[in-house]
Amino acid sequence: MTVSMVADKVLDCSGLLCPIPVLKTSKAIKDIEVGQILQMIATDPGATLDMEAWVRQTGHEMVAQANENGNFLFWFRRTK
Amino acid sequence: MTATIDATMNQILSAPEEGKPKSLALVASKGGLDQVYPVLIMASTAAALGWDTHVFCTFYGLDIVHKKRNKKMKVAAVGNAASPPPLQGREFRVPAFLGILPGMNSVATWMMKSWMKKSNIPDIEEMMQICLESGVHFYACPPPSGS
Repeated sequence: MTVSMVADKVLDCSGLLCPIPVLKTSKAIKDIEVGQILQMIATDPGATLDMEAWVRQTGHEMVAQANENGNFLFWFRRTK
Repeated sequence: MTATIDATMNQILSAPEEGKPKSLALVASKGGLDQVYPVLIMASTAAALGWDTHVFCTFYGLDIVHKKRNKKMKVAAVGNAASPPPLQGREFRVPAFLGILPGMNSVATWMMKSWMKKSNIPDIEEMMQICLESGVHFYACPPPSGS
């Protein structure tokens, strides 16, 4: 299944392990405007739980997530 | 058991109260490479989650905020019964007494660094940079020794 969604910025965290994807995402979300979409790609299976906790903590919105060929894809909307 | 842990985690991770970020204070009193990594990983992650994060560096932990010494951190080859870590399922143990041989600290340090590199974990300098950029507060709190 190919998932496509418009993203204002794409962050590739392939090959990176916890906690680096969380750190990079929280840094990258500051580079986009409020309301814009950040796409993040990770290969670490732990990223799913990490990013769910991250949105719960920071209040940003996880618009969608997908699993594609072993890659974990996330789309976040900056809320503040 | 799992349900209890889940409930506790949800409580810990639930959205912070309005205008009141959660906070974390860590005391770093050790200066070994393997002892500093957990501090910086915890601190940077907490900061990434939007927590107000403070690290009190004291005793040997002062090396964390020392510009020169934090580039030269080492792993002690003696005194760690779990060393070296079982990498990729290899269960091999170096007899503890070999740790007293000259250069064994460098060997242990090299092993640790290559392990971190393999896992794509940044070195101490980069971790420090990430912490500072994400707003972790560091405090240098020297013990009363005149150093």
